[in-house]
Amino acid sequence: MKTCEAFAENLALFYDGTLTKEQQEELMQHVEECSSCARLLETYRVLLHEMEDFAVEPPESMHAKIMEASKQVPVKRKIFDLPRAFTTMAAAAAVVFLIINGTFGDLSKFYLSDNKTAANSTADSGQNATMAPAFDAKTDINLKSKESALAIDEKTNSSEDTTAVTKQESPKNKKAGSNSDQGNTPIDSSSTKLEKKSTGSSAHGQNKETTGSSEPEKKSEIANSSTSTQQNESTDTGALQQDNAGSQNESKIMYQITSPEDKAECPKTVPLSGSFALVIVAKGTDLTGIQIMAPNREAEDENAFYYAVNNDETLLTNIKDTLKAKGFEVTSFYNGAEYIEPSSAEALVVIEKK
Amino acid sequence: MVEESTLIQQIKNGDEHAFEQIVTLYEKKIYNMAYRTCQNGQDAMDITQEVFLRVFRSIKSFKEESSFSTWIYRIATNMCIDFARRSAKNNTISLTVYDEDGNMTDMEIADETYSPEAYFEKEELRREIEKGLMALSPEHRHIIILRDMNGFSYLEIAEILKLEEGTVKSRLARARAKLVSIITNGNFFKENQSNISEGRRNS
Repeated sequence: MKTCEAFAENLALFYDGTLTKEQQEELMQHVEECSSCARLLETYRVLLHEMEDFAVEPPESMHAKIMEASKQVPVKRKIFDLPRAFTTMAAAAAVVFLIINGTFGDLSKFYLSDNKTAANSTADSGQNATMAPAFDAKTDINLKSKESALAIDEKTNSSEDTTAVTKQESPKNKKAGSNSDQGNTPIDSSSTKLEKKSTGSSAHGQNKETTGSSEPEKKSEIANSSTSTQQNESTDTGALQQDNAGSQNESKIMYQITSPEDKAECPKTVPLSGSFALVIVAKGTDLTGIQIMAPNREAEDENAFYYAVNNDETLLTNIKDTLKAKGFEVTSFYNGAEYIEPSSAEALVVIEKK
Repeated sequence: MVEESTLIQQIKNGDEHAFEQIVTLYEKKIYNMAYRTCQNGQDAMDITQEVFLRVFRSIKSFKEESSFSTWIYRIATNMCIDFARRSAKNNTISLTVYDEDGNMTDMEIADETYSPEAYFEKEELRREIEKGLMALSPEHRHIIILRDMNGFSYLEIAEILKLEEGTVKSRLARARAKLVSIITNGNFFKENQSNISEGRRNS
Protein backbone atom coordinates (compact mmCIF):
# COMPACT_ATOMS: atom_id res chain seq x y z
CA MET A 1 0.00 0.00 0.00
CA LYS A 2 1.53 3.24 -1.10
CA THR A 3 1.61 6.15 1.22
CA CYS A 4 0.31 9.59 0.33
CA GLU A 5 3.87 10.72 0.01
CA ALA A 6 4.43 8.23 -2.76
CA PHE A 7 1.71 9.93 -4.76
CA ALA A 8 2.95 13.45 -4.15
CA GLU A 9 4.74 13.88 -7.44
CA ASN A 10 2.04 12.34 -9.55
CA LEU A 11 -0.57 14.44 -7.79
CA ALA A 12 1.33 17.55 -8.72
CA LEU A 13 1.80 16.41 -12.30
CA PHE A 14 -1.58 14.85 -12.91
CA TYR A 15 -3.07 17.75 -14.82
CA ASP A 16 -0.12 17.89 -17.18
CA GLY A 17 -1.63 14.81 -18.73
CA THR A 18 1.66 13.04 -18.90
CA LEU A 19 1.11 10.23 -16.46
CA THR A 20 0.83 6.76 -17.84
CA LYS A 21 -2.51 5.06 -17.81
CA GLU A 22 -1.38 2.86 -14.97
CA GLN A 23 -0.18 5.83 -12.95
CA GLN A 24 -3.46 7.60 -13.49
CA GLU A 25 -5.49 4.63 -12.45
CA GLU A 26 -3.40 4.06 -9.38
CA LEU A 27 -3.66 7.69 -8.43
CA MET A 28 -7.40 7.81 -8.95
CA GLN A 29 -7.83 4.76 -6.83
CA HIS A 30 -5.82 6.38 -4.06
CA VAL A 31 -7.67 9.66 -4.32
CA GLU A 32 -10.99 7.90 -3.93
CA GLU A 33 -9.78 6.52 -0.65
CA CYS A 34 -7.85 9.50 0.61
CA SER A 35 -9.70 12.72 1.13
CA SER A 36 -6.66 14.87 1.79
CA CYS A 37 -5.04 13.79 -1.47
CA ALA A 38 -8.34 14.39 -3.22
CA ARG A 39 -8.34 17.93 -1.91
CA LEU A 40 -4.77 18.39 -2.92
CA LEU A 41 -5.55 17.24 -6.42
CA GLU A 42 -8.40 19.71 -6.61
CA THR A 43 -6.07 22.40 -5.35
CA TYR A 44 -3.65 21.71 -8.15
CA ARG A 45 -6.45 21.89 -10.64
CA VAL A 46 -7.51 25.31 -9.40
CA LEU A 47 -3.97 26.55 -9.14
CA LEU A 48 -2.89 25.41 -12.57
CA HIS A 49 -6.04 26.66 -14.20
CA GLU A 50 -5.54 30.02 -12.59
CA MET A 51 -1.96 30.30 -13.72
CA GLU A 52 -2.80 29.49 -17.31
CA ASP A 53 -4.02 32.98 -17.94
CA PHE A 54 -1.43 34.88 -16.06
CA ALA A 55 -0.22 36.43 -19.26
CA VAL A 56 0.44 40.15 -19.20
CA GLU A 57 0.83 42.47 -22.10
CA PRO A 58 4.17 44.17 -22.41
CA PRO A 59 4.13 47.95 -22.57
CA GLU A 60 3.75 49.23 -26.08
CA SER A 61 6.95 51.17 -25.82
CA MET A 62 9.05 48.10 -25.13
CA HIS A 63 9.52 47.00 -28.71
CA ALA A 64 10.85 50.37 -29.80
CA LYS A 65 13.12 50.54 -26.79
CA ILE A 66 14.63 47.18 -27.58
CA MET A 67 15.25 48.15 -31.17
CA GLU A 68 16.70 51.46 -30.15
CA ALA A 69 18.98 49.81 -27.61
CA SER A 70 20.15 47.27 -30.14
CA LYS A 71 21.35 50.09 -32.34
CA GLN A 72 23.63 51.14 -29.54
CA VAL A 73 25.30 47.80 -29.43
CA PRO A 74 28.67 48.22 -30.98
CA VAL A 75 29.25 46.15 -34.02
CA LYS A 76 31.30 43.24 -32.96
CA ARG A 77 34.69 43.32 -34.41
CA LYS A 78 36.57 40.29 -35.35
CA ILE A 79 37.94 39.31 -32.10
CA PHE A 80 41.47 39.15 -33.22
CA ASP A 81 41.43 42.40 -35.06
CA LEU A 82 44.17 44.05 -33.18
CA PRO A 83 44.25 47.63 -34.39
CA ARG A 84 40.65 48.41 -33.84
CA ALA A 85 40.57 46.42 -30.68
CA PHE A 86 43.17 48.67 -29.26
CA THR A 87 41.45 51.83 -30.12
CA THR A 88 38.13 50.71 -28.89
CA MET A 89 39.13 49.08 -25.73
CA ALA A 90 37.13 50.84 -23.14
CA ALA A 91 36.66 48.20 -20.59
CA ALA A 92 38.78 45.40 -19.45
CA ALA A 93 37.84 41.94 -18.55
CA ALA A 94 39.55 39.20 -16.80
CA VAL A 95 40.95 37.31 -19.65
CA VAL A 96 42.22 33.90 -19.34
CA PHE A 97 43.95 32.05 -21.99
CA LEU A 98 43.73 28.38 -21.80
CA ILE A 99 46.09 26.88 -24.16
CA ILE A 100 45.14 23.36 -24.65
CA ASN A 101 47.61 21.45 -26.61
CA GLY A 102 47.18 18.27 -28.47
CA THR A 103 44.62 16.19 -26.82
CA PHE A 104 43.52 16.97 -23.37
CA GLY A 105 45.72 14.25 -22.17
CA ASP A 106 48.68 16.13 -23.46
CA LEU A 107 48.21 18.83 -21.00
CA SER A 108 50.96 18.60 -18.61
CA LYS A 109 50.41 21.23 -16.14
CA PHE A 110 49.03 24.61 -16.15
CA TYR A 111 47.66 27.00 -13.71
CA LEU A 112 44.96 29.30 -14.63
CA SER A 113 44.10 32.23 -12.64
CA ASP A 114 43.32 35.77 -12.94
CA ASN A 115 42.51 38.93 -11.23
CA LYS A 116 39.22 40.54 -10.78
CA THR A 117 38.47 43.12 -13.31
CA ALA A 118 35.93 45.78 -13.59
CA ALA A 119 33.72 46.32 -16.53
CA ASN A 120 33.89 50.03 -16.22
CA SER A 121 37.58 50.36 -16.52
CA THR A 122 38.65 53.18 -18.63
CA ALA A 123 40.60 52.84 -21.76
CA ASP A 124 43.62 54.10 -19.95
CA SER A 125 43.56 51.31 -17.52
CA GLY A 126 42.41 48.82 -20.06
CA GLN A 127 44.48 45.86 -20.85
CA ASN A 128 46.13 45.43 -24.13
CA ALA A 129 47.00 42.13 -25.41
CA THR A 130 49.29 41.02 -28.06
CA MET A 131 49.94 37.56 -29.10
CA ALA A 132 52.68 36.46 -31.25
CA PRO A 133 51.31 33.97 -33.64
CA ALA A 134 53.09 30.84 -32.97
CA PHE A 135 52.91 28.44 -30.18
CA ASP A 136 53.98 24.93 -29.88
CA ALA A 137 51.44 22.25 -29.71
CA LYS A 138 53.54 20.49 -27.20
CA THR A 139 54.23 23.43 -25.04
CA ASP A 140 53.22 23.22 -21.49
CA ILE A 141 51.98 26.31 -20.01
CA ASN A 142 51.49 27.70 -16.68
CA LEU A 143 49.08 30.48 -16.38
CA LYS A 144 49.60 31.70 -12.98
CA SER A 145 48.41 34.62 -11.08
CA LYS A 146 48.07 35.86 -7.65
CA GLU A 147 44.87 34.06 -7.01
CA SER A 148 46.35 30.71 -6.62
CA ALA A 149 43.08 29.23 -5.57
CA LEU A 150 42.07 29.29 -9.15
CA ALA A 151 44.25 26.64 -10.44
CA ILE A 152 44.32 24.05 -13.05
CA ASP A 153 46.49 21.21 -12.37
CA GLU A 154 46.74 18.47 -14.83
CA LYS A 155 49.45 16.06 -14.13
CA THR A 156 49.13 13.69 -17.00
CA ASN A 157 51.95 13.75 -19.43
CA SER A 158 51.32 12.40 -22.81
CA SER A 159 53.73 9.91 -24.06
CA GLU A 160 53.52 11.66 -27.36
CA ASP A 161 54.77 14.82 -25.90
CA THR A 162 58.24 14.87 -27.17
CA THR A 163 58.92 18.50 -26.97
CA ALA A 164 61.07 19.58 -24.17
CA VAL A 165 59.99 22.69 -22.54
CA THR A 166 62.37 24.24 -20.24
CA LYS A 167 61.36 26.19 -17.34
CA GLN A 168 61.96 29.79 -17.73
CA GLU A 169 60.84 32.76 -15.95
CA SER A 170 61.31 36.19 -17.20
CA PRO A 171 62.08 38.97 -14.82
CA LYS A 172 58.63 40.28 -15.38
CA ASN A 173 57.12 37.01 -14.50
CA LYS A 174 59.04 37.00 -11.35
CA LYS A 175 57.92 40.41 -10.63
CA ALA A 176 54.35 39.55 -11.28
CA GLY A 177 54.66 36.56 -9.10
CA SER A 178 56.09 38.57 -6.34
CA ASN A 179 52.90 40.46 -6.12
CA SER A 180 50.82 37.46 -5.71
CA ASP A 181 49.41 38.64 -2.46
CA GLN A 182 47.07 41.05 -4.10
CA GLY A 183 44.21 38.78 -4.85
CA ASN A 184 40.82 40.18 -5.54
CA THR A 185 42.17 43.43 -6.62
CA PRO A 186 40.52 45.56 -9.16
CA ILE A 187 41.52 45.45 -12.72
CA ASP A 188 44.28 47.91 -12.80
CA SER A 189 46.24 46.07 -10.23
CA SER A 190 45.86 42.77 -11.89
CA SER A 191 48.68 40.50 -12.41
CA THR A 192 48.70 37.30 -14.23
CA LYS A 193 51.63 35.54 -15.53
CA LEU A 194 52.21 32.67 -17.72
CA GLU A 195 55.27 30.70 -17.35
CA LYS A 196 56.60 27.65 -18.92
CA LYS A 197 57.37 24.65 -16.91
CA SER A 198 59.41 21.70 -17.68
CA THR A 199 57.48 18.64 -18.52
CA GLY A 200 60.39 16.43 -17.95
CA SER A 201 60.01 15.10 -21.41
CA SER A 202 62.77 15.02 -23.89
CA ALA A 203 63.81 16.17 -27.27
CA HIS A 204 63.81 19.30 -29.18
CA GLY A 205 63.21 22.08 -26.81
CA GLN A 206 62.46 24.98 -28.93
CA ASN A 207 61.75 27.59 -26.43
CA LYS A 208 63.07 30.91 -26.95
CA GLU A 209 63.53 33.43 -24.34
CA THR A 210 60.66 35.73 -24.16
CA THR A 211 61.41 39.29 -24.13
CA GLY A 212 61.65 41.11 -20.92
CA SER A 213 61.30 44.47 -22.41
CA SER A 214 60.67 47.49 -20.40
CA GLU A 215 57.32 49.10 -20.22
CA PRO A 216 57.88 51.68 -22.93
CA GLU A 217 59.30 49.05 -25.20
CA LYS A 218 56.39 46.84 -24.60
CA LYS A 219 53.97 49.55 -25.44
CA SER A 220 55.83 50.20 -28.58
CA GLU A 221 55.65 46.59 -29.45
CA ILE A 222 51.97 46.59 -28.92
CA ALA A 223 51.60 49.59 -31.15
CA ASN A 224 53.53 47.87 -33.83
CA SER A 225 51.53 44.76 -33.52
CA SER A 226 48.40 46.71 -33.82
CA THR A 227 49.21 47.63 -37.34
CA SER A 228 49.64 44.14 -38.49
CA THR A 229 46.99 42.03 -40.01
CA GLN A 230 45.21 39.41 -38.10
CA GLN A 231 46.96 36.75 -39.99
CA ASN A 232 49.92 35.39 -38.30
CA GLU A 233 53.05 36.92 -39.38
CA SER A 234 55.23 35.08 -37.09
CA THR A 235 57.32 37.20 -34.91
CA ASP A 236 60.84 36.72 -33.89
CA THR A 237 60.23 35.08 -30.62
CA GLY A 238 56.99 33.37 -31.18
CA ALA A 239 56.01 34.77 -27.91
CA LEU A 240 52.61 35.52 -26.73
CA GLN A 241 52.42 38.46 -24.54
CA GLN A 242 49.63 40.15 -22.91
CA ASP A 243 50.29 43.35 -21.25
CA ASN A 244 48.20 45.45 -19.08
CA ALA A 245 48.96 48.95 -20.04
CA GLY A 246 48.84 50.11 -16.52
CA SER A 247 51.30 52.47 -15.09
CA GLN A 248 53.14 49.87 -13.12
CA ASN A 249 54.68 46.63 -14.03
CA GLU A 250 52.99 45.05 -11.09
CA SER A 251 49.67 45.69 -12.63
CA LYS A 252 50.42 43.92 -15.82
CA ILE A 253 48.77 40.94 -17.18
CA MET A 254 51.22 39.10 -19.23
CA TYR A 255 51.06 35.85 -21.02
CA GLN A 256 53.97 34.42 -22.78
CA ILE A 257 54.09 31.39 -24.88
CA THR A 258 57.24 30.51 -26.62
CA SER A 259 57.06 28.39 -29.61
CA PRO A 260 59.01 29.23 -32.69
CA GLU A 261 57.96 26.33 -34.79
CA ASP A 262 54.31 26.32 -34.84
CA LYS A 263 52.96 28.59 -37.46
CA ALA A 264 49.39 27.85 -36.78
CA GLU A 265 47.28 30.84 -36.44
CA CYS A 266 46.98 32.15 -33.04
CA PRO A 267 44.85 34.99 -31.91
CA LYS A 268 46.74 38.09 -32.56
CA THR A 269 45.04 39.79 -29.81
CA VAL A 270 42.00 39.61 -27.74
CA PRO A 271 40.10 42.77 -27.32
CA LEU A 272 39.65 43.05 -23.65
CA SER A 273 36.36 44.67 -23.81
CA GLY A 274 34.09 43.95 -20.96
CA SER A 275 32.41 41.14 -22.74
CA PHE A 276 35.29 38.84 -23.31
CA ALA A 277 36.10 36.87 -20.34
CA LEU A 278 37.88 33.86 -21.49
CA VAL A 279 39.81 32.64 -24.39
CA ILE A 280 40.52 29.06 -25.03
CA VAL A 281 42.94 27.94 -27.61
CA ALA A 282 42.70 24.31 -28.25
CA LYS A 283 44.96 22.43 -30.54
CA GLY A 284 44.11 19.06 -31.81
CA THR A 285 41.09 19.04 -29.65
CA ASP A 286 37.68 19.63 -30.91
CA LEU A 287 35.72 21.51 -28.36
CA THR A 288 32.63 21.42 -30.44
CA GLY A 289 29.73 22.34 -28.33
CA ILE A 290 31.35 25.32 -26.81
CA GLN A 291 29.57 28.24 -28.16
CA ILE A 292 31.95 30.90 -29.08
CA MET A 293 31.88 34.54 -29.70
CA ALA A 294 34.22 34.58 -32.62
CA PRO A 295 33.49 31.52 -34.61
CA ASN A 296 34.57 33.02 -37.86
CA ARG A 297 38.17 32.66 -37.05
CA GLU A 298 39.59 30.26 -39.56
CA ALA A 299 42.68 28.49 -38.51
CA GLU A 300 45.13 27.24 -41.05
CA ASP A 301 45.78 24.34 -38.81
CA GLU A 302 42.56 22.47 -38.89
CA ASN A 303 43.30 21.06 -35.51
CA ALA A 304 43.47 24.42 -33.89
CA PHE A 305 40.46 25.93 -32.32
CA TYR A 306 40.18 29.33 -30.87
CA TYR A 307 37.47 30.33 -28.60
CA ALA A 308 36.83 33.69 -27.21
CA VAL A 309 34.09 33.22 -24.81
CA ASN A 310 31.80 35.87 -23.67
CA ASN A 311 30.96 36.21 -20.06
CA ASP A 312 27.71 34.54 -20.58
CA GLU A 313 26.50 32.09 -18.07
CA THR A 314 25.05 29.91 -20.77
CA LEU A 315 28.26 29.81 -22.69
CA LEU A 316 30.32 29.14 -19.64
CA THR A 317 28.01 26.40 -18.56
CA ASN A 318 28.44 24.98 -21.99
CA ILE A 319 32.17 25.03 -21.56
CA LYS A 320 31.91 23.36 -18.26
CA ASP A 321 29.66 20.64 -19.57
CA THR A 322 31.80 20.09 -22.59
CA LEU A 323 35.00 19.91 -20.68
CA LYS A 324 33.41 17.67 -18.13
CA ALA A 325 32.38 15.35 -20.89
CA LYS A 326 35.98 15.22 -21.92
CA GLY A 327 37.08 14.18 -18.51
CA PHE A 328 37.85 17.50 -17.01
CA GLU A 329 36.38 18.64 -13.83
CA VAL A 330 35.42 22.23 -13.77
CA THR A 331 35.64 23.15 -10.19
CA SER A 332 34.88 26.76 -10.30
CA PHE A 333 33.91 29.52 -12.57
CA TYR A 334 34.69 32.54 -10.59
CA ASN A 335 35.45 32.87 -6.96
CA GLY A 336 33.88 29.55 -6.37
CA ALA A 337 30.60 30.57 -7.87
CA GLU A 338 29.36 28.66 -10.81
CA TYR A 339 26.93 31.32 -11.67
CA ILE A 340 28.16 34.56 -13.06
CA GLU A 341 25.96 37.53 -13.18
CA PRO A 342 25.40 38.66 -16.73
CA SER A 343 26.42 42.14 -15.82
CA SER A 344 29.74 40.97 -14.59
CA ALA A 345 32.75 41.30 -16.78
CA GLU A 346 34.54 38.76 -14.76
CA ALA A 347 34.73 35.15 -15.49
CA LEU A 348 37.14 32.43 -14.91
CA VAL A 349 36.96 28.81 -15.55
CA VAL A 350 38.97 26.47 -13.51
CA ILE A 351 39.39 23.08 -14.91
CA GLU A 352 41.24 20.10 -13.76
CA LYS A 353 41.66 16.69 -15.09
CA LYS A 354 39.82 14.10 -13.13
CA MET B 1 6.81 34.35 -43.02
CA VAL B 2 10.50 33.91 -43.35
CA GLU B 3 11.94 30.75 -41.88
CA GLU B 4 13.44 31.33 -38.48
CA SER B 5 16.74 29.85 -39.55
CA THR B 6 16.83 32.34 -42.40
CA LEU B 7 16.18 35.15 -39.98
CA ILE B 8 19.02 33.97 -37.79
CA GLN B 9 21.37 33.95 -40.71
CA GLN B 10 20.24 37.41 -41.67
CA ILE B 11 20.84 38.68 -38.16
CA LYS B 12 24.28 37.17 -38.24
CA ASN B 13 24.85 39.22 -41.35
CA GLY B 14 23.77 42.32 -39.52
CA ASP B 15 20.22 42.59 -40.76
CA GLU B 16 18.34 44.74 -38.27
CA HIS B 17 15.02 44.03 -39.87
CA ALA B 18 15.49 40.33 -39.26
CA PHE B 19 16.40 41.07 -35.68
CA GLU B 20 13.22 43.05 -35.30
CA GLN B 21 11.18 40.14 -36.53
CA ILE B 22 12.76 37.94 -33.93
CA VAL B 23 11.99 40.55 -31.29
CA THR B 24 8.40 40.59 -32.42
CA LEU B 25 8.20 36.83 -32.27
CA TYR B 26 9.59 36.43 -28.79
CA GLU B 27 9.14 39.66 -26.87
CA LYS B 28 5.78 38.89 -25.38
CA LYS B 29 6.70 35.52 -24.04
CA ILE B 30 9.99 36.70 -22.67
CA TYR B 31 8.37 39.73 -21.13
CA ASN B 32 5.92 37.42 -19.43
CA MET B 33 8.67 35.20 -18.14
CA ALA B 34 10.45 38.26 -16.83
CA TYR B 35 7.32 39.77 -15.38
CA ARG B 36 6.53 36.66 -13.40
CA THR B 37 10.07 36.60 -12.20
CA CYS B 38 10.01 40.06 -10.74
CA GLN B 39 6.30 41.01 -10.62
CA ASN B 40 7.34 44.39 -11.78
CA GLY B 41 6.74 45.90 -15.19
CA GLN B 42 9.80 48.09 -15.29
CA ASP B 43 12.18 45.35 -14.27
CA ALA B 44 10.48 42.96 -16.66
CA MET B 45 11.03 45.39 -19.48
CA ASP B 46 14.66 45.81 -18.53
CA ILE B 47 15.20 42.07 -18.38
CA THR B 48 13.46 41.59 -21.70
CA GLN B 49 15.58 44.25 -23.32
CA GLU B 50 18.71 42.74 -21.89
CA VAL B 51 17.77 39.33 -23.22
CA PHE B 52 17.42 40.68 -26.74
CA LEU B 53 20.63 42.65 -26.52
CA ARG B 54 22.37 39.51 -25.39
CA VAL B 55 20.87 37.67 -28.32
CA PHE B 56 21.94 40.43 -30.66
CA ARG B 57 25.48 40.42 -29.35
CA SER B 58 25.81 36.70 -29.16
CA ILE B 59 23.97 35.56 -32.24
CA LYS B 60 27.14 34.54 -33.96
CA SER B 61 27.83 32.09 -31.22
CA PHE B 62 24.51 30.41 -31.84
CA LYS B 63 25.50 27.36 -33.78
CA GLU B 64 22.08 25.93 -34.27
CA GLU B 65 22.88 22.84 -32.31
CA SER B 66 19.70 23.53 -30.45
CA SER B 67 16.66 25.31 -31.74
CA PHE B 68 16.77 29.07 -31.62
CA SER B 69 13.80 29.17 -29.29
CA THR B 70 15.57 26.90 -26.83
CA TRP B 71 18.60 29.12 -27.05
CA ILE B 72 16.78 32.38 -26.52
CA TYR B 73 14.63 31.00 -23.73
CA ARG B 74 17.75 29.68 -22.07
CA ILE B 75 19.22 33.14 -22.15
CA ALA B 76 15.99 34.52 -20.80
CA THR B 77 15.90 31.86 -18.13
CA ASN B 78 19.41 32.66 -17.02
CA MET B 79 18.64 36.34 -16.85
CA CYS B 80 15.45 35.77 -14.93
CA ILE B 81 17.01 33.40 -12.44
CA ASP B 82 19.92 35.74 -12.04
CA PHE B 83 17.58 38.60 -11.37
CA ALA B 84 15.64 36.51 -8.90
CA ARG B 85 18.79 35.53 -7.08
CA ARG B 86 19.90 39.08 -6.74
CA SER B 87 16.46 40.07 -5.54
CA ALA B 88 16.32 37.16 -3.18
CA LYS B 89 19.04 38.72 -1.12
CA ASN B 90 16.39 41.03 0.22
CA ASN B 91 13.71 38.45 0.40
CA THR B 92 13.00 37.44 3.93
CA ILE B 93 10.44 34.88 2.99
CA SER B 94 12.50 32.50 0.99
CA LEU B 95 15.76 31.03 2.00
CA THR B 96 17.32 28.66 -0.38
CA VAL B 97 19.18 25.78 1.06
CA TYR B 98 20.63 22.65 -0.35
CA ASP B 99 19.06 19.40 0.54
CA GLU B 100 20.90 16.16 0.95
CA ASP B 101 20.80 15.55 -2.79
CA GLY B 102 22.42 18.85 -3.47
CA ASN B 103 19.22 20.26 -4.89
CA MET B 104 18.13 23.71 -4.06
CA THR B 105 15.12 23.83 -1.91
CA ASP B 106 13.33 26.38 0.15
CA MET B 107 13.41 26.54 3.85
CA GLU B 108 9.96 26.71 5.16
CA ILE B 109 9.50 29.90 6.98
CA ALA B 110 6.10 30.92 8.07
CA ASP B 111 5.06 34.23 6.73
CA GLU B 112 2.25 35.70 8.68
CA THR B 113 0.86 37.45 5.68
CA TYR B 114 -0.47 34.06 4.68
CA SER B 115 -3.15 33.74 7.22
CA PRO B 116 -4.71 30.35 7.65
CA GLU B 117 -8.03 32.05 7.98
CA ALA B 118 -7.74 33.75 4.65
CA TYR B 119 -9.79 32.55 1.81
CA PHE B 120 -9.60 33.70 -1.66
CA GLU B 121 -11.79 35.17 -4.24
CA LYS B 122 -10.45 34.94 -7.71
CA GLU B 123 -8.49 38.15 -7.62
CA GLU B 124 -7.31 37.36 -4.19
CA LEU B 125 -6.22 33.95 -5.26
CA ARG B 126 -4.28 35.47 -8.08
CA ARG B 127 -2.50 37.83 -5.75
CA GLU B 128 -1.74 35.01 -3.39
CA ILE B 129 -0.28 32.97 -6.21
CA GLU B 130 1.86 35.89 -7.23
CA LYS B 131 3.06 36.38 -3.70
CA GLY B 132 3.63 32.69 -3.29
CA LEU B 133 5.68 32.59 -6.48
CA MET B 134 7.93 35.30 -5.17
CA ALA B 135 8.53 33.26 -2.07
CA LEU B 136 9.80 30.31 -4.05
CA SER B 137 13.41 29.76 -4.86
CA PRO B 138 14.38 31.19 -8.25
CA GLU B 139 14.64 27.70 -9.71
CA HIS B 140 11.26 26.61 -8.48
CA ARG B 141 9.67 29.84 -9.52
CA HIS B 142 11.12 29.65 -12.95
CA ILE B 143 10.07 26.13 -13.70
CA ILE B 144 6.52 27.09 -12.84
CA ILE B 145 6.79 30.13 -15.06
CA LEU B 146 7.98 27.97 -17.90
CA ARG B 147 5.48 25.20 -17.53
CA ASP B 148 2.37 26.63 -15.97
CA MET B 149 2.41 30.13 -17.33
CA ASN B 150 4.09 29.67 -20.65
CA GLY B 151 3.07 26.15 -21.46
CA PHE B 152 6.43 24.69 -22.36
CA SER B 153 6.54 20.93 -22.51
CA TYR B 154 8.73 18.91 -20.19
CA LEU B 155 11.05 18.26 -23.09
CA GLU B 156 11.34 21.93 -23.99
CA ILE B 157 12.02 22.81 -20.39
CA ALA B 158 14.61 20.08 -20.20
CA GLU B 159 16.38 21.58 -23.18
CA ILE B 160 16.15 25.11 -21.90
CA LEU B 161 17.37 24.21 -18.44
CA LYS B 162 19.66 21.47 -19.62
CA LEU B 163 18.15 18.97 -17.31
CA GLU B 164 16.93 15.46 -17.71
CA GLU B 165 13.23 15.25 -18.29
CA GLY B 166 12.84 13.28 -15.10
CA THR B 167 14.52 16.03 -13.17
CA VAL B 168 12.19 18.55 -14.76
CA LYS B 169 9.21 16.56 -13.60
CA SER B 170 10.41 16.14 -10.06
CA ARG B 171 11.47 19.75 -9.78
CA LEU B 172 8.16 20.91 -11.18
CA ALA B 173 6.24 18.71 -8.79
CA ARG B 174 8.22 20.00 -5.85
CA ALA B 175 7.80 23.58 -6.98
CA ARG B 176 4.06 23.23 -7.28
CA ALA B 177 3.80 21.51 -3.95
CA LYS B 178 5.86 24.25 -2.40
CA LEU B 179 3.69 26.90 -3.96
CA VAL B 180 0.55 25.32 -2.63
CA SER B 181 2.15 25.02 0.74
CA ILE B 182 3.20 28.65 0.79
CA ILE B 183 -0.11 29.96 -0.43
CA THR B 184 -2.00 28.08 2.17
CA ASN B 185 0.58 28.19 4.86
CA GLY B 186 0.04 24.52 5.24
CA ASN B 187 -3.54 24.97 6.30
CA PHE B 188 -5.08 25.08 2.97
CA PHE B 189 -6.80 21.79 3.15
CA LYS B 190 -8.39 22.46 6.46
CA GLU B 191 -9.78 25.85 5.68
CA ASN B 192 -9.51 27.06 2.20
CA GLN B 193 -9.81 24.47 -0.42
CA SER B 194 -13.54 24.72 -0.85
CA ASN B 195 -13.38 28.47 -0.86
CA ILE B 196 -10.85 28.52 -3.62
CA SER B 197 -12.96 26.23 -5.65
CA GLU B 198 -15.99 28.35 -5.04
CA GLY B 199 -14.12 31.48 -5.95
CA ARG B 200 -13.15 30.01 -9.23
CA ARG B 201 -16.54 28.71 -10.07
CA ASN B 202 -18.15 32.00 -9.28
CA SER B 203 -15.82 33.92 -11.48
